[in-house]
Amino acid sequence: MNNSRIHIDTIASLKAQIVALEKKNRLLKKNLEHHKITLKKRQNSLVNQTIEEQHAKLVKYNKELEQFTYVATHDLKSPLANIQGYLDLIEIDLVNPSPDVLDSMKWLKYSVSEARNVISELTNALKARNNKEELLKAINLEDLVEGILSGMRAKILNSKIVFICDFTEINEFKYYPVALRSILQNIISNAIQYSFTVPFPEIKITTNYSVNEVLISVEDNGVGIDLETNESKVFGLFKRIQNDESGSGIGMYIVNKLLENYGGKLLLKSELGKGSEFTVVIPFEKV
Amino acid sequence: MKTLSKKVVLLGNEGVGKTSLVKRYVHSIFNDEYLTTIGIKISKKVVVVEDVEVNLMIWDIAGNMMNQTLYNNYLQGAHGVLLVADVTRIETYESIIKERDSHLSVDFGNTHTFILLNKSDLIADTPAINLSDYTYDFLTSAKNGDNVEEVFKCLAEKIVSTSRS
Repeated sequence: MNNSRIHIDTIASLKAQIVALEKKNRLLKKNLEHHKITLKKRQNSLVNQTIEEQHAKLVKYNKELEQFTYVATHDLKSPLANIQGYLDLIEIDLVNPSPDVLDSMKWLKYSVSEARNVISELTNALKARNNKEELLKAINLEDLVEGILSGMRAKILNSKIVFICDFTEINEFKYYPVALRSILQNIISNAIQYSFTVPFPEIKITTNYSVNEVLISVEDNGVGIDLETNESKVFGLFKRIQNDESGSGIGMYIVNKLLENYGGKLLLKSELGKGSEFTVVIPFEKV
Repeated sequence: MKTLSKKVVLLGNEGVGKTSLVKRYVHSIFNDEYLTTIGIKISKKVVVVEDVEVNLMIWDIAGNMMNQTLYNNYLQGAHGVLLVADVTRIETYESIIKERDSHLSVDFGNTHTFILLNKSDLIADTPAINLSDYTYDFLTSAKNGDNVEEVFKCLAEKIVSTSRS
């Protein structure tokens, strides 16, 4: 009798303990959930804070870069205008100049005028940077390349490189003039650099097109590149090939980045000792 | 219609107006601003001679290239040559005559060659010019377009006529 009474009490006590434990358990679960939520909130808040900080940094860098470009372009305008002014004065004071002096004067003035044009185009590109459509303009490739080659005239004449320009397939299309100028200037400059040493250097600039694409090729008969060992270096920042010390290693990196940004690509064919062909492929938009 | 592709080369000293002639003929434009040609520029114009469509591939060769080593390579395959002089500078005429007599008639004897006196628009303002000092095929002006179309038409006809015979 006593034994059964004890059992009943024990069971009742255990039941009470179970109820109490269950209550505790529910409370602990509730706390745990609460902690989880708090932790998640804290984590999110930390992530958000980091993202916000990074974003703020990027905005700051962009603003600084923008300001730097504005200042650089603006500050270059004044000395260039000065050079132009002094060239005009020298021209007036020249007494019986030889044809060579007159020719040099003409090219000096042309180069200054080209530099001013580039600055003006850069400024316009900066203003319209958020609206690519605004930068998309009709391009006459013959005029564009003529301007680039004229700017490098002294270098070309010294190097005795023969340039052959054939735009009979396509000469006019729509693209971004500032970007294309920079792209071609870098590729041509590169081709000159690697053609200097061959006996009869020749650079051909040609065009072709399909329904969707315009192809502009710059082909040289210069030293060429061993693509098996050097391909990754061609487009890398500050990377130069074949122990070359003359370049900065920036040009082709800029070309690649510009094409990435403006919806184009660059193809390269090259053979060591035979020359290279860089082909700029851009979307075809009719004028 | 039969289609032919023919190479025409323009030669002459710097500043005689070769590029301006090509621009006038191909694009119908003239620009007073003078930029020396660097290297070679190739342009194309389609002309119809009777029942033949001729793609004239026009090679405008920079004046400073006439003395260079590989100059001959760029003349290879030419069906017609236009030797251009500036009518106001007789030395440019003497230069192309020398080029014709000592080089072209020897190495490219079968190529049709015309002598052009360009800048005819300046004759009225230059009393010293005596046209009887020159022997030429066409008096042209890239500025006002005088005879430009005729030169290329006449050359295309001669080239087609030769390719038929």
